[in-house]
Amino acid sequence: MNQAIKLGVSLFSYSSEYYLKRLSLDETLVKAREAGAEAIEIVAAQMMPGFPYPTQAWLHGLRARCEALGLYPFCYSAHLDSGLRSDRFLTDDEKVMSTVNDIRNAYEMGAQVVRTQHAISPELLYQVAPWAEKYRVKVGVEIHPPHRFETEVWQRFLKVFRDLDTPYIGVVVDTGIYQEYPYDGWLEAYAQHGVSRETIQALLALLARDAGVDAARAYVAANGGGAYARELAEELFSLYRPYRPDELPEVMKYVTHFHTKFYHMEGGEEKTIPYAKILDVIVRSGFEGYLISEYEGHYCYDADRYPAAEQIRAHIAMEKRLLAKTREE
Amino acid sequence: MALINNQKAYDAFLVWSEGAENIEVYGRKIGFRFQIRMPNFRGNYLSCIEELTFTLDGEPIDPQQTELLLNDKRFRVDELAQLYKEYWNVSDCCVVEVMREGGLQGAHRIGATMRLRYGYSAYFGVCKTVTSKGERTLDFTDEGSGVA
Repeated sequence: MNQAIKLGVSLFSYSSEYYLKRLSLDETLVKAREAGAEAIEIVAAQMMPGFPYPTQAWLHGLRARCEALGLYPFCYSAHLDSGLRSDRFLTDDEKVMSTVNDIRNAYEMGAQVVRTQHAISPELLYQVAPWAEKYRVKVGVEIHPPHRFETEVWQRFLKVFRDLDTPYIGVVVDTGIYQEYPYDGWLEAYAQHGVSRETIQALLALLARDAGVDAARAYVAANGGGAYARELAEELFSLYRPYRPDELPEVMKYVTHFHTKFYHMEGGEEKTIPYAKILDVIVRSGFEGYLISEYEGHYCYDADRYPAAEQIRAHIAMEKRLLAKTREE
Repeated sequence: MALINNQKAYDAFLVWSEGAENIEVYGRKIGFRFQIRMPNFRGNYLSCIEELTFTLDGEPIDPQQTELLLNDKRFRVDELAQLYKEYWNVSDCCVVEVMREGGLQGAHRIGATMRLRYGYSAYFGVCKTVTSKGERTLDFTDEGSGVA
């Protein structure tokens, strides 16, 4: 049933080691392959020398180095830097041409997908689509927390996908949109800024009950919480909620791939995102394509204690285990 | 904007550990140099740097005596806002040169503050800006490794 689901890694997962020059780009490719990845995604603004205009020779070289390792250079991950100028925002035409530059770079590196961000706006996709079709590179807009499919801008994106109905325009689903609870490192940051353990536990209990942000605000107000406690309440209920089914099965035909986001693997599990439920939905929909593991714990977990390579290896092993289990059922 | 910023881990590397030394011309020390890193997981356009200041042992360094070396070019801090075609790759160290007769001897505390606009964050008509601060004691003795 799920033979056509393949696993990959976003090289963004190795951000800490890459930044500290402990791993070169080529070494991250080797680590990805060792972890069991068949494909990679690369964040262009992070790892491409000469960005935003890496040379054709460099892009061809990247493709060759991936292929020599048995890796598909699957996705070019773009940021839309619409605020890059100090005097004004980019015009719509400049945003389109910035994305066309990304499409051309992706074409040269042999990628199937450009990941872009929702700042592109739903309406500009009508202008991007002919370029994507010309270069045969898909453009996937990433849905990422705090957004969910029910968010207004995403309802507009879904309408545009249906209007265009082309395989070259779609959505990259970051599974972080299904995150149920924060990870310990994030909570620890609030604790270090003076939010009491009691307040954190009380807010988590409200979250688990899906009690709503008003209840959280009331708790903080009644218990004299400061600015950090107030922020924690807002962020908790903006970013996390108990899992509930959504429009994913209906929009699956527009999904270019998944970012299987995770923060911390322990005992072979990621405890904050309900992967068993999500992978079950993906498999049952008949989705064929890549799950790209994206480790984001490097922001708050020490790389010496929890090397990204080990975290990625554990995450891919979990995905394989869950996919095998779904297939048996 | 969130008070807890997940990019804060990079602030510790804003002042980089390598490359601290004096600038010598005909055996005379006319200044000193050190290196800084982009305090972010990705590179950024120089025009996104809204503020960049330095301190020496806690005292402000005059921006008029300071030049930045990046991408094989030299820039003044007050030019940064215009440099929207100049990209600072996150792997590259930016060399900061400070003109100061006699250079520096021994260990000194070098501080840096950078306010960075996240150019991709203009979701609601305004970009997120994040201020990073870093300080590191660097060794400027001639035989020094750079790190005190």
